Amino acid sequence: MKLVVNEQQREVEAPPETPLLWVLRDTLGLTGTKFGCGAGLCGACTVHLDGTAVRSCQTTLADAAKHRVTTIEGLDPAGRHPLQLAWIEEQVPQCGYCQSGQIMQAAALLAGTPHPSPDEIVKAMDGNLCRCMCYRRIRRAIERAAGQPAGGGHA
Amino acid sequence: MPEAVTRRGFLVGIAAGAVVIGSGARTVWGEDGGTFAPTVWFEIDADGIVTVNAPKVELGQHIGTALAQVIADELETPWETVRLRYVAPDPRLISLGVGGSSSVTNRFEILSHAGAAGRIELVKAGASLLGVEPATCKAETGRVVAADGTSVSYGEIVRRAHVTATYDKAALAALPLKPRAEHRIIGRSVPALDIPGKVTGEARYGIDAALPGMVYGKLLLPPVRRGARLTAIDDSAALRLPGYVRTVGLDADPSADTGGWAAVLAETYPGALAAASVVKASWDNGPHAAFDDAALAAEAMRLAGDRASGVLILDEGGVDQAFAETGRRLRAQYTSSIAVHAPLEPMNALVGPVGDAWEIHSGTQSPEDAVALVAKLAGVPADKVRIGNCFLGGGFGRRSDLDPIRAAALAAKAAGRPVKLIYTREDDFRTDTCRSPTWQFLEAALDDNGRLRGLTHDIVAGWPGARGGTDDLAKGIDGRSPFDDSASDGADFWYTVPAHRIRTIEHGLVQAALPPGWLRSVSEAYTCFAVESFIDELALLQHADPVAFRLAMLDGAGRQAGDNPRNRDGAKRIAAVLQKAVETAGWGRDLPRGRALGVACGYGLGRSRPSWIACVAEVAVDASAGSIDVRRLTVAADVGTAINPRNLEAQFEGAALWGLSLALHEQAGFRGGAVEQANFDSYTPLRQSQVPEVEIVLVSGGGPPLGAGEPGVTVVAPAIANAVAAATGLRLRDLPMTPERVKAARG
Repeated sequence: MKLVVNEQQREVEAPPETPLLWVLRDTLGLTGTKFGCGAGLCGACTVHLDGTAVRSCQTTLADAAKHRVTTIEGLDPAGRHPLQLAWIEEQVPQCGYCQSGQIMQAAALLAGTPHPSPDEIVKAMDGNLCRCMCYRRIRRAIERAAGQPAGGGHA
Repeated sequence: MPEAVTRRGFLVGIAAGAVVIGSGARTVWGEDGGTFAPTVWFEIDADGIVTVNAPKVELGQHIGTALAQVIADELETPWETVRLRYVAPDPRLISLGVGGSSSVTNRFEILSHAGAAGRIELVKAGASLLGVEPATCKAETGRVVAADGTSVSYGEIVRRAHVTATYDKAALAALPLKPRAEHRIIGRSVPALDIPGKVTGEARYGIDAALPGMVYGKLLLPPVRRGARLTAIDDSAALRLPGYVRTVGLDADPSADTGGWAAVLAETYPGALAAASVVKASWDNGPHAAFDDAALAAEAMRLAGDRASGVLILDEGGVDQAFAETGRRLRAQYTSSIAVHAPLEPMNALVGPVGDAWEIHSGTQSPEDAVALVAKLAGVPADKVRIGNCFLGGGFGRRSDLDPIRAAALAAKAAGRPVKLIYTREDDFRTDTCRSPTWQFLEAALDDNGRLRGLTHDIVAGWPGARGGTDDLAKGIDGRSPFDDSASDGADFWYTVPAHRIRTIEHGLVQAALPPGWLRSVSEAYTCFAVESFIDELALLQHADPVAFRLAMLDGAGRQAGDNPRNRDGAKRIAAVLQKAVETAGWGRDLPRGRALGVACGYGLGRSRPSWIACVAEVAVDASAGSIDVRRLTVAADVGTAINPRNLEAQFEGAALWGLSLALHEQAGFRGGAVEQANFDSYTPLRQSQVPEVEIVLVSGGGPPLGAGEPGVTVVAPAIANAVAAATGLRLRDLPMTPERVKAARG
C-alpha cells in the first residue's frame, strides 16, 4: 500500500488491517512513536492524520493511507518545533517514553487553538498518561510554546 | 558489528579498585551500538572536551547528568565541555544497575575522587609544560594557570603531555574534596543531557532495538500468575497464518520466573498477536487458582493474630511493662491494596545469537544479572554475552526483574534466532511483580492523661527480598531470624517514644501467588502511611496540634541522633523539613468548611541513608459524594548536598504525584490467582485533569548527597488521610482512599 508519512511517499507491504503503529515502527523504522497500551488508553502512540491527533494503535494502515501521516520525526524538519524547544526549556521529560505522544497531542491542540486556556490544555492532554508524572511541566511547556506566561516557571 | 576505532585522549578510570589515569591510544568499539567498556569513567580529548561515560542506566532520573556534574566540578572543567556517553554495561567492571534511589549516594565519593585525581595530574603535567612547580599552579575552567597568569588548556596538555598515574584506595581517601562553598557545577541546575533526544523521537529504548534475522514474540500466559504448568499447545490454527514461526513453551518448572509461559513467534509483531489469538494452550493451574483478595486478607489476619509468627526487628524494651501498667489503648489497622508498576514502556526484550556471541537489548535495572542469566540459559561464557545500552521507559522497580530477558532467551534458544519479545499491556499487568497488599496493626499503650507509653507495630506483607531465598536477608533482633527489610523499612521512625516494638511477618500466600516486587518507595510508602496516620490519631486524641506533637518527639535523643554521616541528626533534619513544609503551606490558616490541611513527615529509603521529607496536603472533601479533591501538595525535602536542584524538584514532584496516584487512584484486585486489572481502563494512574498544585522546597541540609527518586512518595498518602480527617472527622485507614471507602467511613 502507498502511505504518505512525514511528506514522503512510502510503499508498505503489510495487511491493510495492520495497526499503523507497527507499520511506522517496524516497517518504516520510525521508532519515535511508542507502543504503550494497544487500546487507545495512554496516548504514547499519538501521531497526526492530516494534522489531527490520533492513536496509531487504533488506526489501521488502510485508514491511514487515506491521509497524510505525521510522526514525531516529521513534526519539524530540524526537531525545533516550538513545543520541542519548550519541552527542553521546561526540562519536561524524565524517562521520556510518553513524550513523543504528549508533544504530538499538544501540537494538534496548538494548531487548532493557538492560545489555549488552562482548561483547554488539560482537556486536550487528559488522554496522555505520563507514568513519571511530569504533568505540570507538560502544562508549562505548552503554555510557553503558546507564548503564554507559564504558571510558576523557573527564572 | 561496530568498527573498532582508535582515539587519543586523557583517560581516567578504575582498575582493581584503584583509579588509573593514562594518556595515549586505546581501542574502543565504534559509536553505533558499541560495547565500550565503562572502566573508563571519563576522558578528555585534544580539544578539551570531557566525555563522561554514564555510570548508571537512565530511567528518567537524569543520573548521568548529575554524576557528570560531580566529576566536572572536581575536575575544574566548564560544564559546556562535558559530554555524556551512554555505555553498554560490562558485568566484569562496575555495576550500572539502579535501585533504591542509591546511585548518587553510592557514586558521589568515588566519582569526586576520580575528578580530583584527574585535576591533580593535569596540574602536574600543565605545570611541567609551563616550566613551573605544580604547587604554584591552580586548575580553573579547563586550564592550568600559573602564578604569573600564564596558562595551558586541558586540550593542549592532552596533545603535548604523557600522563600515567595510579591512585590506590589510600591515596584516593587522602584526596581532599572541595568544600561546598567552592562547588561551581554541583548545585547548578544545568539542563539534563539526555533530554534533547527525548523530544525528537531519537532516544532509543529497549523496545526500539532490532537485530538481523529476529522474530517477534508474544507471550501466552496461564490464567494464574504463579504455579501453573503448561500441559499442551495446539497451534494448528496458527499454521495457516502467514509469517507464523512456532510456539515455544518456556520453563516447565512452575516456580521459575517464566514457569508455565509460552511464546508465540512470528515474522512480525502483528503476526505474533494474530497467531497468539488462535494458538490454544492448556495448563494445570496449580495450587493458587482459587486465591483472591478475601483469602489473602484472611491469611493476613490469621498471621497477625498468631503471636509466634514473624520476626521482631525492633524492641526498645519496656513495651510489655507499658502495656501492663496502663489501661488506655489506641488500636488501628491500616491496609494497602496491590499496586502495579505499569511503566509506560511495556516490558520487552530482544535476545539472541549474533555470530558466535549473544546479544541482549532490553531496558533493565539489573544489566549485570541479565548478562549472567543469558550466559547460563544460552550455555555460553559470560564474555560471549553483550548487552546494549538503551534508555528505560520507566522502571519504578519493575525493571529489576528479568523475566522478559529470560523468556526471550529461552525462545531464542529454541528458535535459533534472536527473539524480540514485547509484552502487550495485558501481559505486562498479568506478569507484574506487584507491590504486595499489606496489613498493619498499631497499638498504643496510653496513660490516664492519654500520653503515649508504648507502641507496637505489626506488619504483614509479601517480602520481595525473599523471592531469591532468605540467606542474604537481614536478621531480626534475635540475631538469626531472616527478614526482608524492604518489606518493613520506614516503620522504625525517628520519633523518641518511651517504648517501641516492630514485628514483621511474611505473608506466605502473597509470596507464593503474587509474587511481590519492589515498587517505587517500596515499604516506606505503606509503613509511613500507617505510622504517620497513627501519630496523627494520637495527636488528635490528646487535642494536640499535629505539627507541635511531632516536633516534640523529634528531639534527636539517643539513637534518633543517627549513627553515620548520612543520617546524622536524623530527627532534627525531619523537624527542619516539617517546619519548612508547614511554613510554606501556611499551616493554621483558616479554610472554608470541608477543606483542611494535613501533614506527614518521615524519611526514605532505609534508616542508614535516608533523605528527609515532609508534606502538607490541602484537600477539599465532599463526603456525601465520597470525593477527595487534593488541591495542593507542599513538599519539603532535605537531600544533603543538592547536585541539580531543578532536577531534584522534578524528581520530588513526580514522586509526590506518584504518591497521590497510589493514595487515591491505583488499586488492583486479586482473583483466581491473578491480578484482575489488565489495562489503563480498569487500573487508573493519575491523569492530567487530576493534578493539583505542587510546591517543592529543597532544604539544604549539607553533607553527602542522598537519594531523590523515591522518598517523595512516602509522605503524600498520610498527609492526605490526615487532611481528610481534619476536614471531616473521617479516618481513612485503607489505601487507596476511594470514593466508596470515603462513603463507607461516613456510614
